[in-house]
Amino acid sequence: MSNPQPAISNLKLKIILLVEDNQDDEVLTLRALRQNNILNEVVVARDGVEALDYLFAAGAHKGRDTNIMPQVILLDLKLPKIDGFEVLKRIRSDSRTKHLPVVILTSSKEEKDLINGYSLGANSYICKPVDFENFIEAVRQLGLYWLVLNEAPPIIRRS
Amino acid sequence: MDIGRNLTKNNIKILEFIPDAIVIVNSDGRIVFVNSQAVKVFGYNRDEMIGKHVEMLVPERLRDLHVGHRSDYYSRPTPRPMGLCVNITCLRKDRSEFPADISLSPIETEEGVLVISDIRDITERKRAEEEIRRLNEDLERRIAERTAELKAANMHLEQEIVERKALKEERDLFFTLSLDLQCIAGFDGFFKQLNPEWEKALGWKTEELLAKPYIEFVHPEDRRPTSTEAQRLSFGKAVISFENRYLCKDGSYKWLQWNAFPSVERQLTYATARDVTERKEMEEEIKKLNKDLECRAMQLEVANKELEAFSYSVSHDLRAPLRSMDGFSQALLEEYIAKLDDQGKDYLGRIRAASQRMAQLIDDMLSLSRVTRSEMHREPVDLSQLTAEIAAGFKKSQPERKAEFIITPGLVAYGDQHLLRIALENLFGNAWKFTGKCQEARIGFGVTQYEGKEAFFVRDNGAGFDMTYAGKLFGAFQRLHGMKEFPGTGIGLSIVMRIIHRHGGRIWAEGKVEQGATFYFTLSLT
Repeated sequence: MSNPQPAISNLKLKIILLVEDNQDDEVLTLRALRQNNILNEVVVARDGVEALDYLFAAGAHKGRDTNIMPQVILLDLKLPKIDGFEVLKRIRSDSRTKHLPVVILTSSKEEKDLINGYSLGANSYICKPVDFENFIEAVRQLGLYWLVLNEAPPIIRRS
Repeated sequence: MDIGRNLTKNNIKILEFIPDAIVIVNSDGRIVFVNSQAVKVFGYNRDEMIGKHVEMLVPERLRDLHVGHRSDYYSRPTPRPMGLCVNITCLRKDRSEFPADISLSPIETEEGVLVISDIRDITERKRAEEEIRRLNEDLERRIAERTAELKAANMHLEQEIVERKALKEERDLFFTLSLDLQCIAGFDGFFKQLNPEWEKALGWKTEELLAKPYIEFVHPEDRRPTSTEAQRLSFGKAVISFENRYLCKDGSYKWLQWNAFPSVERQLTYATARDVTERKEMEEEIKKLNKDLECRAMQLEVANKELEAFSYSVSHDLRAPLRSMDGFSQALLEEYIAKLDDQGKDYLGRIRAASQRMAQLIDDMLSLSRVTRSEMHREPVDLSQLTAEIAAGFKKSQPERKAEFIITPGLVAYGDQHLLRIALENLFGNAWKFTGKCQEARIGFGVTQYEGKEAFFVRDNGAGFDMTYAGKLFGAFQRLHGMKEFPGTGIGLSIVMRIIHRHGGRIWAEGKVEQGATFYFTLSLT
């Protein structure tokens, strides 16, 4: 059993994991976060493997403290190497990450993707608008909800 | 007795040796002598018989008759041998009777004529005779019976011959008149007998068909299976519904369907064939059509898969660059506003507008392809209710507009609820848009008859269109109005048309510039 941590005001610990392979989208997302005064640490993974390495302290992230987990994961679907659905599947099948809030943030409005995403346990599905103003608004609401309003799940330590 | 004494001792001795009973009677009918055999036969003592009337040895009922016979005899005494009168019945002392054969021999003596009666008990003989008679009778009866049997059998045979003859005639008639091809073929591979239908069906003369092994008339491709079937027949197995092609005299082939039954004993096959060429050709045609259809279905599936992959790619990849264009233009406008003059800002504004329009086009394209790809679930759909809901939505979106919706109630169609809603939303959306400049918009939904079918229509009194371009109305991204006048991507009506086509219906429009437009559509099964 773990003690539920009191809400930590330290933004450093409310990490956002952004899984995004498109560098333009990365820049725009970071900019949108900044414009909304969301100053949390953002870890960027540029493909599925990198995302999983970060979460499970493997590869380039070997030795990372897995007691620190992101407050929310913003997950693109179309990714090199391992795609978003596979990343989501692995997150949900590991006891350390299975409760992490995952928001699918993608260009696609395909019904197939929506069904797949929710079936695999996505907490939310947001289609990135082309209109940047709309995008900023979406990021603002997203940040407000997942970083402020939403209570993160307690961290489950591996025994 | 005197008579007895007059017979010499030797005579008497002789009479004793005779195996028959000897009774000597005088002319008065009295017994004068009996030998010991007579004593034995009749059961009387000698003394009981001597001097008595001979009638004592005759049953009472015959005595009178005997007296008569006796006097007759004495009047003309002649020797009478045995066997002349076999039906004489004698009486024993114990009253039992026995049949006898008697010979009579008259002897002249001093005391008158004596008659020597030689009496032979013929009970055994009679019995034997009776047995013979009985055996004879039995034999005769049996002969009669057998004769009757033979006669019956003969009659039966005769009848059978007649019946068989009739049957054969009938069978021959059947063979000759049958519309099927009938034949008898030998295990040696030759036809033995063919009915006239063969000539009609294949065009060969019967002699021509009999002259060669039948396999030579079989289509080369069918020879192997035909031989296999022939082999089955030679093992005594029947062949049912076997099909092969036979060569006609004109070089064409006919499909024959065979039923055959062999007689291994006779080394013959009895077979009936039917010309199934027409059916076979139809089957081939159907098979070919099916194959084509399958092929087309596969192509369609491949096309659909490609379309899906394409849509997926469009959905994921095409929007991202637009987002960059719009996003970075926005970034420039925000962060470098001081370094931009009005023209620069205008250009950036145009980049943004173009990106957003393209995003809209992409969305429309995707919804068009979604309409094509989505699965159909047909059910009764209340179109009147659906249009009323849609109309209410438009009214609410622009409550300030003066618009009247005239909807015929109770119109129900059989189709996909979801798709029909999209179609009607688009048609009403068009009507709503193109009546935007009317003082008083009137939009109607109803039904009319078109070529015997129910045709639904959506009618408005809006901007209308030039019928010259009616054919372009339903093309994807085709527009008859300028963007400034009526905005849009030109996808709405092509979506409607696809939905109507998916329902097996058709859509067309009538209109006049500034005098409104009417869109008609049919749905099959309505």
